[in-house]
Amino acid sequence: MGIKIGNINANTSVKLGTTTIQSGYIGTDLIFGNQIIKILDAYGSAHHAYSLRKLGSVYNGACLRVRRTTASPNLITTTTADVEFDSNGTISFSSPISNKTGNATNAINLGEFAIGAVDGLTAQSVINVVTWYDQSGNSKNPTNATVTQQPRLVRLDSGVATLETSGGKAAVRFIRTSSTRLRIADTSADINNLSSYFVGAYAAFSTNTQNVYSLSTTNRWYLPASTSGGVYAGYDNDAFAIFLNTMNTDRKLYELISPSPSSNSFIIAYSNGVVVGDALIQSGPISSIDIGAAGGLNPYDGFIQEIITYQSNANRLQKERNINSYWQIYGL
Amino acid sequence: MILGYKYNTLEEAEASLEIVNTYFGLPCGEDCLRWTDVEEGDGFWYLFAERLEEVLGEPVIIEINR
Repeated sequence: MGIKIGNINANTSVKLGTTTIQSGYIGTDLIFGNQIIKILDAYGSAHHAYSLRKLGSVYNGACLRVRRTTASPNLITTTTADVEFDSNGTISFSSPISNKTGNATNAINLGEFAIGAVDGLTAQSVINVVTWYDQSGNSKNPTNATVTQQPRLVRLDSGVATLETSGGKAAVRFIRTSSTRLRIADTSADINNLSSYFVGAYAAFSTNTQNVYSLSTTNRWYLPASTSGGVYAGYDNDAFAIFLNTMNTDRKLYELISPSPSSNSFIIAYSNGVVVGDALIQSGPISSIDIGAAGGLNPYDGFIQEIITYQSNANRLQKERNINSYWQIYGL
Repeated sequence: MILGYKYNTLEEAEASLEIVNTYFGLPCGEDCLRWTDVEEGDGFWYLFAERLEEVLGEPVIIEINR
């Protein structure tokens, strides 16, 4: 673990007497060390929270519900299971699986489930996401029962099961040509009092309209949405209300905050921690939580690792730092 | 490009979809899944999805890229 005083690297551990200090904070900001306070422990009461990392100590449920449909030369079968967080609080082939339904499986973790040898399978399998569980405690679990529209957690590379990743960390891959998306109806929030934090990356340049995360197609809350002109935050009656950046395949942390902490008349958007624009605040209920599309339309082609939405604009900077500390997106 | 199947009636399309669901062993009941959705257009009914040809044979139409 490195720490600097000015521009001088200290090459030993930080100690108090003989006790090594594992991490240090100023207020609630982690300034050194490997342990990051879980964001929902520090800033709870999210409206909904989806991630491939464990976001809080209170939530002890699974991360995802997944599906395996075997392919030839195996007998064609389908099995669904919950995927839990591994010992590092993330998703890997060591992640335990539980609550198995459909065709029986002997697999005890995601790797065994995908490889299939423990079930006598001779071909490895793609693993798709049926449901992304809400870690906020509100059970707002977006799902898709249509299997060919389910996003992907594990792909096959030359027949080898491979965890989807972005920036070296696990990700859910949404595929535009399959119109993959997850959805749950929800009207329990208003666009005049929300703040969303999104981590993901487009898979390829595209001029087609893509809606990545949406809470309503009328009282819009899109983070992000893209078209030929670039990547935007959509708000109220404007699908492309605030320009975030040009279309690219870099991993990004986008934030949409309503109202802006500095003015109740505006909402404000950030891209990788930098203010990129604002818009006049409006009111209206959301209609659903859509991940990978908006109202089933304009599907996304790319990766998503985390979406957290609060009914509060408090502690924006601290939340941003926590997210960036874990996902290592920019400026580190 | 996704291959597709065209039907004159919704019932025909749903019957084909049920065959597909059974072939892939999709669970039904509390954890019910379906392979794809039946889509309507121009007075006909369609099934579009990956791996349908494993069950239904050669497709009768081809959809352009989404």
